[in-house]
Amino acid sequence: MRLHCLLFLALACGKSTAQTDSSRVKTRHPSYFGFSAGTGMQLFRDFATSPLFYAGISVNAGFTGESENARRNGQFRIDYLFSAARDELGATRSKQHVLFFDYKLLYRIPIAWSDKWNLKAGGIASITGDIRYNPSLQNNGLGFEFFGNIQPAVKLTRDISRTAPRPRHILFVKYGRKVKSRNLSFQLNGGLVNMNYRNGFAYTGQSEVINDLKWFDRYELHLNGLRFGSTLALTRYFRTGNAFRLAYCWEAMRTAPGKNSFEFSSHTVRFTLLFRTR
Amino acid sequence: MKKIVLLIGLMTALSGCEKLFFKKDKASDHPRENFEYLWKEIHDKYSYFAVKNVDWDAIYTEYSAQVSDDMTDDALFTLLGKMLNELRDGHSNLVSPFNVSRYQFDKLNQDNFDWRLVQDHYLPQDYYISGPFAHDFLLNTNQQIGYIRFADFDGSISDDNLDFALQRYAGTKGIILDIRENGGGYIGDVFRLLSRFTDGSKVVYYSRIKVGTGYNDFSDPQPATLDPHNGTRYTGKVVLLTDREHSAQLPSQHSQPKRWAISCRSATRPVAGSDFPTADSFPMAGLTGFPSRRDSIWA
Repeated sequence: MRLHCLLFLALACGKSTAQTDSSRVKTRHPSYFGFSAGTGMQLFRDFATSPLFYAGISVNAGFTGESENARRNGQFRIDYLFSAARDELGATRSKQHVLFFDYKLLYRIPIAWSDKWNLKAGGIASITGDIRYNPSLQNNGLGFEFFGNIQPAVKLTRDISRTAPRPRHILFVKYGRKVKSRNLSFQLNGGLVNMNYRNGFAYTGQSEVINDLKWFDRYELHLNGLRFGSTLALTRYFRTGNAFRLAYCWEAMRTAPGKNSFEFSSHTVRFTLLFRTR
Repeated sequence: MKKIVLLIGLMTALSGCEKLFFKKDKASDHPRENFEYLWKEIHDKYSYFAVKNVDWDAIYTEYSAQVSDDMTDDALFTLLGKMLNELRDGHSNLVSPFNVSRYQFDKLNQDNFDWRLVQDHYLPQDYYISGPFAHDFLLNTNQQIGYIRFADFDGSISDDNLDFALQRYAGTKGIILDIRENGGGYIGDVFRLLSRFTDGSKVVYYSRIKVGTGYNDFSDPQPATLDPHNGTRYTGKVVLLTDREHSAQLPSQHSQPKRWAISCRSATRPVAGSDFPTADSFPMAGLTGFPSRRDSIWA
């Protein structure tokens, strides 16, 4: 609780003196770094070991660096996700660690709906690594793979700021809603170039059997699969320039159908504290 | 406001679409679907059809006729376990919460090992236990023969264990390595142990791996090379005691004791034993989950 208080204090007051300076507020390319944490649900299925879905609760934490204005949005994200999943029969368990690296660059598409709407499009380059451990799979208990994707993305943002205070009163008690700077955005992305690096036909290679242990033994790089994602985010900006973001993120990916195909999806609710750097 | 609601609705709808990207759920209550799935998985991934002269298509015909829609879980499990036992493979099991099917290769021959007998008649009562090794000088040999019992390839061999044991028996005429009724385990133990009994690098066996669904889709054979340990090694004679089940004539056990025995035969150090095997490998290209909704079953 104390930590939460400190974080919010930092958000609200950390640079208040400097950032009430109007010249900073008008910076053309405001940049942020942020820390995120969240929780959600995760689902995966690896046909190389089992035709059953594994589902469970996940937690995640991450770091983001981003810059955004009306014309451009750039973001670098590192996110770690841990989940404890059970098969759909509840008989076996799998622990999964996933690491996401994303770089996103979006530019405004000049469609004049209204000043409050902003549409950007661009791409996301993603690398995702995944390690799973399921002791019930015995010799095949440990599994890991990598996914690389280039995804076209569109992001629609609606400015839902309150630009004027709204005084209210109930009898003689006065209260009011203050000015707030905030926006709501929805981003959708889908894989155009999808790569995966997974085990070959045999789930476990034979390097250990021939006394020549190698990581990624008989792993194969494939250019196939699908990846989709969406993010609905509410971002609230403070007077200091710092911000708080609440986002719902969905990601789904799969390799091509086949004997060893792999499917993964995650739903996460993520809280991010963004600290303005310029 | 309506647009925002629309946006949230769109998001929710999209997030629910992930099942569109995934294959349909394979979990099934239907006995025939479960039978077909297991048969196909074994057909595609099992390695020893040719070696064991198993006609898997004929087995399909035989067992498929016995599957009925009204079978109980137990009856289906028993039938599938019986079909799996046609492989005569100690490493191919069905596992469920209520039973485990198994091919009992260890019952094919008379049990000829009794650890209690060894302890009572061949070892001092306070024999040494160094990690996974139980060992001491054999009784009535004037400390000229060492006996080392290695009951499990559990990956726990350390250099300290081996250094101690081998230095202790360094001056003996020979040692007996007893791996009878060793249930197998970690392949690395085979090389760690054998490296103490060889003078130079040697190819001890070849291994190949399943690379496709065809019965004969295998990789090229790869050599398994044994390198000598840089520290303490044993230079005397070694007698290896193994089970009959580790022999090539009974290819039902595919595990580290068997690889150990194969490797021993290939090493130049004089070894003795009986029924040495000539070939071995992992039986399956991957462990196969089984889609029965009723219970979790693994082959």
